[in-house]
Amino acid sequence: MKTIHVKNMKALLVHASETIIENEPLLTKIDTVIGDGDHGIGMKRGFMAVKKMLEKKEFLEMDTLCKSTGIELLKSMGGASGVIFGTMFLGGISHMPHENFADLNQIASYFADGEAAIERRGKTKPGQKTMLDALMPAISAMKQVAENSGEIRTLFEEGYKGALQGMEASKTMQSRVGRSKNFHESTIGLPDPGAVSTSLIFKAFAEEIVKCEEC
Amino acid sequence: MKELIFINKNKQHLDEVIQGIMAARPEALRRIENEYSYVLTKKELFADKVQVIVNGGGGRGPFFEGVVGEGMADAMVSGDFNCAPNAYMLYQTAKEIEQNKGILFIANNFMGDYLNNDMAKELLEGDGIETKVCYASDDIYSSRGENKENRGGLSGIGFIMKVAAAASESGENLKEVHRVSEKVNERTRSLSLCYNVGKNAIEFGNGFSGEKPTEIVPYEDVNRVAEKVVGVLMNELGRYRSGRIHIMVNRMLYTSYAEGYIMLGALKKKLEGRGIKTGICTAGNYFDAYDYNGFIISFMAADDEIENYTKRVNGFDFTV
Repeated sequence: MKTIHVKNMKALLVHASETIIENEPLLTKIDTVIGDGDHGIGMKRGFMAVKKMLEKKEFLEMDTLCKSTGIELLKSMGGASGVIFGTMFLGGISHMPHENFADLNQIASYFADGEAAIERRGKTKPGQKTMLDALMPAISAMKQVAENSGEIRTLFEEGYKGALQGMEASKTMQSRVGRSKNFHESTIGLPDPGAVSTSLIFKAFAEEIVKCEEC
Repeated sequence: MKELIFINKNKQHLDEVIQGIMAARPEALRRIENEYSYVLTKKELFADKVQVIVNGGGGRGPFFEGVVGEGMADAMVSGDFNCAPNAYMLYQTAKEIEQNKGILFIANNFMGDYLNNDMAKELLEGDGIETKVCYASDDIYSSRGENKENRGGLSGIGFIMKVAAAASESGENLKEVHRVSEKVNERTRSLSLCYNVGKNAIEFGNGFSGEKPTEIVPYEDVNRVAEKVVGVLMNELGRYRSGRIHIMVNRMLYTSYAEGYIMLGALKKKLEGRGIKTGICTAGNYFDAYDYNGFIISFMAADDEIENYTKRVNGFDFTV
């Protein structure tokens, strides 16, 4: 398949929510060492709200689904993560069609513009030990699949590989932004909590897409 | 919050704090209910005035639950413990209280606070509501070799709030209230110091998220500590050190009322000993982000304009 149906995209988002909720202790553990310890709890709160919203509502269009997800994160989370992960799902919304499916290019562009919006708002760039260090390589990988006109399933699988590599690479970086910058050299060795969350979201996408019918 | 004993299991303790405050001050305060943030506003808002909204992550208080009232904020929005309140609730609160004169948000200069206030400002401006934000960046130890813009905020936000309240209550427009707020921030410096019982030493610069101290000195007595604090803060104030110094001694969780005033007296004496004029002095338990024995000490170097606004302030206490 070269497209994803809205019901499958919803399944991806539900599984991403469950994955974040399950991994709250891991995220809290990392953020307690190199941050203020609120990342895991905030992400859990946000994705519990998303999961509840997704389970209650039917979605017929890709843009409505993705916009509702972003807004729910924004309303429930707070902290830096609320704006950042809200923007991840809202920043590229103009690429999502008001239809019940989206194609490879639309998905890749959606996440790419989300990333650009986070850079703009946070005045940050990849390389500063943030979630962008996982998101950026995920997007590059997805773009490549889209350019080569691959399968939608491959797009998400490659996206996860990129995110995972990026998250691993964030371990070698020293934090330059956010509270964790105050921990200076001691941030080297641990991954950025936001990058871990990002890789978990893409991991869930990759796990779920293989289960979807017509994918 | 593991350091608190008298809380209920499986309840949001901040929610219960707000319930308690509402029980104490039903005539003065109004709560805006929300599942994910904690909001208080004045019950009766001055019409035709810039509305000042102070916001930040939740803690043990009184910042931010206790800062709404006359001479203080018109509203406060608090997020969960140590977590900036969400942009959407900042936006909603501003929409509810604005009086056609614009909104001033005051927050500490942390990434989460910046992102949410910045987004709320954008949303409000989209609705045609003039909005400005003042970020407090008084914590001198929070950035090593970086500009003041990169510093975090501590209790200096209290000085900004007081002056912003006075300026807005005297009818100044948003641009003016914002300008004078920024001026206070520019002239405010704070440091944290904690007593380490094991080492019998004073640690300077501990962060409230576990950031390590910048300097550790053996403890002798309050006068020696005050001497050191005056030296460091006056040096940090740089070209503003000729202003009248307003002193705020902020006690941490395990430090007594008595010790707060002993420290305040010692600081005033040390400043005057150096020929420095002092202004309003206050000691209390305001910004209790630290469960330590120690202080956050803030100096604000007022010029005539700021001085004029602080004159309006009764007693200069910070909370209800």
